[in-house]
Amino acid sequence: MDEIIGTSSDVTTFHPATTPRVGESRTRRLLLASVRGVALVLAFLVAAEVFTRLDDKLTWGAPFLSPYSEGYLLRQDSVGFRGRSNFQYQKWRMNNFGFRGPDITPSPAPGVTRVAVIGASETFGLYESEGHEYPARMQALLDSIAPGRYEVINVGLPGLSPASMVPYIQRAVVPTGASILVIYPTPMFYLEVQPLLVDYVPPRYQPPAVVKFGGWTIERDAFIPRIFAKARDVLKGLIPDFVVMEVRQMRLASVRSKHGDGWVWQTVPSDRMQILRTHLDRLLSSTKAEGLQTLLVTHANRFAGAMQDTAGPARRHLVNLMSLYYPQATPQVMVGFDSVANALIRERAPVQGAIVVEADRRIPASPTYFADFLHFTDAGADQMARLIVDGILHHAAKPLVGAAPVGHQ
Amino acid sequence: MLFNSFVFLVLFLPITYIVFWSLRTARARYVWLTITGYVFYGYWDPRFCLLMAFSTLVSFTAGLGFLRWTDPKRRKLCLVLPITVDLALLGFFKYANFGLDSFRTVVHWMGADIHVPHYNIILPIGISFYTFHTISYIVDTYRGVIRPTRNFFEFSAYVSLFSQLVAGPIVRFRQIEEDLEALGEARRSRWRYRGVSFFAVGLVEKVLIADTLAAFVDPALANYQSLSTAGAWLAMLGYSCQLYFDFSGYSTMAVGLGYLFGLRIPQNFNSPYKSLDPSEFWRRWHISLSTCMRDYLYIPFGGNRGSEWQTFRNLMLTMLIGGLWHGASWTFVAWGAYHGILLAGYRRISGTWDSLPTWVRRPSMWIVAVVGWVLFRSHSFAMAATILGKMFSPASGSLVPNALLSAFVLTVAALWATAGPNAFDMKHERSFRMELALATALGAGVAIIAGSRSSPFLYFQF
Repeated sequence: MDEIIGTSSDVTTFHPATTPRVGESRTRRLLLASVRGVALVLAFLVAAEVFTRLDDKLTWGAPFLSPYSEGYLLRQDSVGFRGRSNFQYQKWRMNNFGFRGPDITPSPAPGVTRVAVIGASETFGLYESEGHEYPARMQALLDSIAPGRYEVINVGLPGLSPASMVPYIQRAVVPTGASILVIYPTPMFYLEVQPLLVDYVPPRYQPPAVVKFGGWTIERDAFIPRIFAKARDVLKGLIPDFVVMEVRQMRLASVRSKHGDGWVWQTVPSDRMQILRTHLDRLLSSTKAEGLQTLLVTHANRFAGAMQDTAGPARRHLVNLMSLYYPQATPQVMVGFDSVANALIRERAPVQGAIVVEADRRIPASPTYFADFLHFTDAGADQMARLIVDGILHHAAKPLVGAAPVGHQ
Repeated sequence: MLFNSFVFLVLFLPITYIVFWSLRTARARYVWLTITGYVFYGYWDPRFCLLMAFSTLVSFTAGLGFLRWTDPKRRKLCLVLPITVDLALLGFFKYANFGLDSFRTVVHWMGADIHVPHYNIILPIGISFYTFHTISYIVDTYRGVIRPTRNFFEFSAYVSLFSQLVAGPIVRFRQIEEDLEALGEARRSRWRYRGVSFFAVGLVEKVLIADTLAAFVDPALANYQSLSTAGAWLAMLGYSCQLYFDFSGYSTMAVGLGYLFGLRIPQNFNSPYKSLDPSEFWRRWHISLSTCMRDYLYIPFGGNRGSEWQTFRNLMLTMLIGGLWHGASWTFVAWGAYHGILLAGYRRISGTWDSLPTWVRRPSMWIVAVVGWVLFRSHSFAMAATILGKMFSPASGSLVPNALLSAFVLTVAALWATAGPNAFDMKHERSFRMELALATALGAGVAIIAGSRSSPFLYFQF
């Protein structure tokens, strides 16, 4: 075997580092070392940026020279935010109409009922694996029950409130020819420190800055380095959870200390609920006027209206929300607001001819179904899809005769 | 913890490095290396640390026994007992279910109705590697090749050395004994540049080459039934390069890390796809394993000192065990048998084979190795047969994903593997040009790690 396998070469020789030349002045050496250091840092950063873009291109199909972050999934125009057509950021792919999911035709094929599903990030999809957000699951379920009869489009966008839905539906959803609209409103938006205005005012329109190279026009944001955002995300992920929690607790305490007693709500704020009521009424009357068969879904969360489990990971979700978005709310108020809002949905929907889908009572309050306070896991999205499909098949304007009930949990 | 993870690069390595060099005595450095080794290992599952500690203690005690006793019986006991314990642990964790499953298949095939259980055993990561470390220490001590250490922390630092703990190279105590003994006098600056340079080369091999190849190889082989002939060849050629650069990258990083801590770790890969015959292939592929197999299996079996038949038997036994060492599956055993036959066959026709021109022998040897990788990569003989069938008979079907790009990456990888230098061929001399190249390589590697395509090392599973 000696001649068959042989021996390993153990070590290699040592090459000493270069030493400064005799006679070289100290200042010159320092200057040279500084220039070398800067050149090395630049080489590192340029390589990192180029390979970050190549990685995005290979992994996600992202253009080498284009803006690239989750913020670019949306674009702003004079009426408000819309999805950016044909853009992809990681697993989130926008279609030709600026909706999440595969491309669609301008109008539904003959005999096909188009179902639009609108909501905020819970609808758009956040933690679910690709293709498991609940509108996509609805499509799969409907295809298995009534192949070729329904087409589900996910028109949800992160941050879409009931108020901002009204112009968005008129301008972006109605032209798609959808005849059924599923609305999953997020009541939490009404707990922000700055209350939503009763009359919706779109954000000020700022066209994107561009740079022109000959015949090429490139958005200026395409030149924003991607490596720093990625490095920041990675480094944040290295911080232990308890440190993040402590920092957020401190931030929350700091924000609250700047305001007087009584700033933090101890009960569900009725003025905010009144604004939600107004917005819901306007939304439902608007969809009714457009002739859309509307299903309004109650809002489900990790606690199912009861604050029994506020320790451990559950507490983390609440502290995250309070410190980042809703410092005025206590955990009880956040959960309570959802419950009162759901009562409001049950009250207002029938008045406007909408069908109520009970998600909050049907999706178990468990980490199996919720990745955080309100966003779904794959299992949660699947449950949600089943409930809505059940609602569509049995209660929508043109029920599918003979359809088998879709499984309940 | 992976070398190509941020928790390693940003937290573990800097802290380990700074504290290590702030310590002045060899003993303190042994203790620190031991602690960090256990932290590194426990990051996967802290329970496995107990197993490694037990194995370390048993082998160290055996070493002390060799120092104390000179009569053959007791020395034999110091040899047999700890090796039995080590092999029993390895056998239980790695091969228990394999044995039971095989037994169940046989008794069912014979028509017997016996309930054979299947246990839910988690395979401790790297157990095959550190078991080899401890066994080699015991055997070398018994043979008088090394003098066992009385310093427990020196020995535990050797076993739990994080740079080579979970996926090799299988460094024998005698190979780093000198550096370990001199660890108290080691100078930080001596090999720092070499360490960074080796680590950067390994990082490029792993994250730029192996992980990029994995992006098309893995999905292609997940749907191997739909591959065409060209697709099957592309996938398997890609896998051969992925496996090489993955493992070689890990080994090169381990060497670099060794240098950073004043330890010279031997070369584990010497451009194996430049080999002209099976014998040379095993002198270049996973050198630390093949030399261990030679010294601890082949030679004790009798080596090539007997008849041709006995040599063939010894070769086959060695390679079968080598195959089984890689994984508890009959496909690995078959892979070992395949290489055993290749080595034996080469012994018979070496005269004729060696007279062929290099441009025939080198690509032929690579293709022969690729055929072996089919067995190595397949989770069943059915899968292996399907892939081999598609490779050697015309089959319609799909190519690999992103075929054009995949072919380009494969060409680059193949050229480097068959004609380019490996990390030990490169001159790791400090120059501005080299520093620029290192900075660029590190930047590229870090970018890919920060992205989403970096993946665990393939050899972790062994």
